[in-house]
Amino acid sequence: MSLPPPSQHGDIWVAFLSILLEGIPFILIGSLVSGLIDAFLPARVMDRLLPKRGLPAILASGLLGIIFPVCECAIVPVIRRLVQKGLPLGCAMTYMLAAPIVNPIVALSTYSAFQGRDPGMMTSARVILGYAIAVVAGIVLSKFGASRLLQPRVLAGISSPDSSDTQGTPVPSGDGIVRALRTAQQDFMDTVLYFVIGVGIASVAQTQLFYREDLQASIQNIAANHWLAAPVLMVAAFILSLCSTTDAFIIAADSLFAASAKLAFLVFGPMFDMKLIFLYSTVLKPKVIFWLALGLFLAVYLATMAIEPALSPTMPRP
Amino acid sequence: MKSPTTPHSHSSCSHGCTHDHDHKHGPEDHDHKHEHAAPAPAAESPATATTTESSDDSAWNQQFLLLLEMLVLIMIAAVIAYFIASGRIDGAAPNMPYLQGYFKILALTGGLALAVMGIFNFLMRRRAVGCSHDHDHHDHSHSHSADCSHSHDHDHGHGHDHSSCSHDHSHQKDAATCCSHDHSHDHSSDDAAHAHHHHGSPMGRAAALLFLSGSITAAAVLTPDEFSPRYMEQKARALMGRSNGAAPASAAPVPAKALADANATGSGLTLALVEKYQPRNKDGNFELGVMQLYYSGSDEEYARVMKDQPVETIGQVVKDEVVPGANRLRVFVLQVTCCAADARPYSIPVVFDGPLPEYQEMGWYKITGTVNYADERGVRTAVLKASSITPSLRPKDQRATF
Repeated sequence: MSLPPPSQHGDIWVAFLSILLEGIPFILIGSLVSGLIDAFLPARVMDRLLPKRGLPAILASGLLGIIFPVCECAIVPVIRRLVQKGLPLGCAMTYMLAAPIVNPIVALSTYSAFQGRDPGMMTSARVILGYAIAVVAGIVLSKFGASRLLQPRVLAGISSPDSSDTQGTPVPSGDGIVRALRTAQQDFMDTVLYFVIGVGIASVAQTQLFYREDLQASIQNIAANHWLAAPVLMVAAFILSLCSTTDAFIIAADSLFAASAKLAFLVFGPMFDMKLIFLYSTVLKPKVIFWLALGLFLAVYLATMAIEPALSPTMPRP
Repeated sequence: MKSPTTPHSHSSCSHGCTHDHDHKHGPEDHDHKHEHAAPAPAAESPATATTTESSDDSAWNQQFLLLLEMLVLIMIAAVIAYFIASGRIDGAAPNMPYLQGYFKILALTGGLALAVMGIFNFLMRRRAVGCSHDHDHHDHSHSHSADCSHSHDHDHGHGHDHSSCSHDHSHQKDAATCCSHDHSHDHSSDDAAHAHHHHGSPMGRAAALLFLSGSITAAAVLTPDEFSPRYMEQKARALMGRSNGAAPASAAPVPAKALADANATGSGLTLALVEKYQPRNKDGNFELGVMQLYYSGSDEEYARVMKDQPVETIGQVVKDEVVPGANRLRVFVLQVTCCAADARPYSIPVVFDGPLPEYQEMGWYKITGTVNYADERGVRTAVLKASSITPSLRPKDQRATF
């Protein structure tokens, strides 16, 4: 079988296929976890595990990624399931936004990517900032009712509180596995569809638009600008739709951008990018996704600018 | 436990669990219309599914969709397996695989798991479990006495009628945990739940599956396995010279054994040690990849030993726009961290004594010269003082160090 010759539209397929092949295993992992939660985790058990009061619960949720480290593709089906299992929305959103950053795998990859460039500072700044912003987002979102945030079909699946008083006896294990896999497949099918759409759009943007010489020339000019460097890299993170376990390797070596801009890239990307729009849409209403994007963008920008003085002196400047 | 008097309508369950969607019935209905009797050991009759017409349709749709899903999952698995087995996963261009390193293993494992999941779910499609997988199923499964604690072997010889205890009307034969549901649970939002469970109409889901399989098939058939020179050049130029600094641990430039020997003897790294593990070719040159040269600057010891040593390397050549100069080129390779979409150029400057020789932008060349080190953007960078460049085939097997 002879391959088609390399071409401009062929570039889209190469990028599409490579991101797809990279992401599919992680979506499967997320779906399997979701299925297992569905089959074996008694409804509303999260209520019992987490602190009763709102704020401590949200604060604790932001750390769940340490126990259960997943990247942003895998977390979405898990979150959808946990919400239906009665995890309060504020906690769910905090966990969803924090888990791809506040987790040991990502911390390790960030640390090794920034070897020789003050990795400890960059890693801790990333983790702390990711955690703080996820917590704030969770607190804000918890002020709204589930019906205003969630897709109707997710809403419909939420365990009703009055049925939660029963002792959620797990189903016998044989059937539990059947149900777990059944749910996992449903979640996978749901999630992967949106993932494919998101990856498709990201591939087009990357191969047809992002590296155009005129655009790159302006990006390089902007990189020197103290105030615009971070937003530019955040838009880049949005378009590139990288996995949070690997994005640090992509940006760490870049000598064009200041450390604060890289930090913005590393915090914003895992919380919001092109593929995540579509993944989030399996849980959240479009309007909520829009405001979430705007809020996260501003929060990450302001936070990175605020802590810039702590970062820059230790980083080699171009 | 609530008393079994609350009227309830069960939402449709997971795939295999299809049944009449809108029946609202009190517990008394179970005995008659839907065979929902409390499990009675006395019930001797084998299970006979008494499904309504609409449940037939729905069941058929569900089974058809499960079949489709299985086929699509197997197809995805086949595409992944084919790309890995055929080696196409490594791409057509040197150093530009779709997936790098262990991501290949991850993809293969994931693909196989997808196929297994699809087949498993299709084979188990008639098995009822817990029903209503999306809300408090657990409440359904504990209200019964010993009658219902039967094994799940689909053996109907227990002497009690499984169907009678299943609230799920299309698959009473296999009712396992369904038979033990608590009739009292209140599904107030059942109608809405239907929409969720089915994730839209069967037609919609079939269309989604078609889109999914279509886009993956199209990608697999239409991909050239390599980026166009135009895109590579754009990307290389955009990012050229923007990577600098230390190597990731996995890309250590110094042969690890040489370093170990140096540490063991305490004599420090010497040329002899480097030669021991990094033999010269017949021309007396060290054959180093662009990545190795690129990272060689990050190790002070190694840079000290390698300074002024003759080396040769193969890479793509462009005019140096990072540090412009009439006698300067840049040799680069693209390096993939995880997937092809994240490929970045790693480059070192190539400096000639006299004017530049004839060369073609973006062409592949073997460059011979001596290595030196200079400060570029505040970082010690390898610089190749070139004596010759000769056109080279792009190295099919040039795999970088990480």
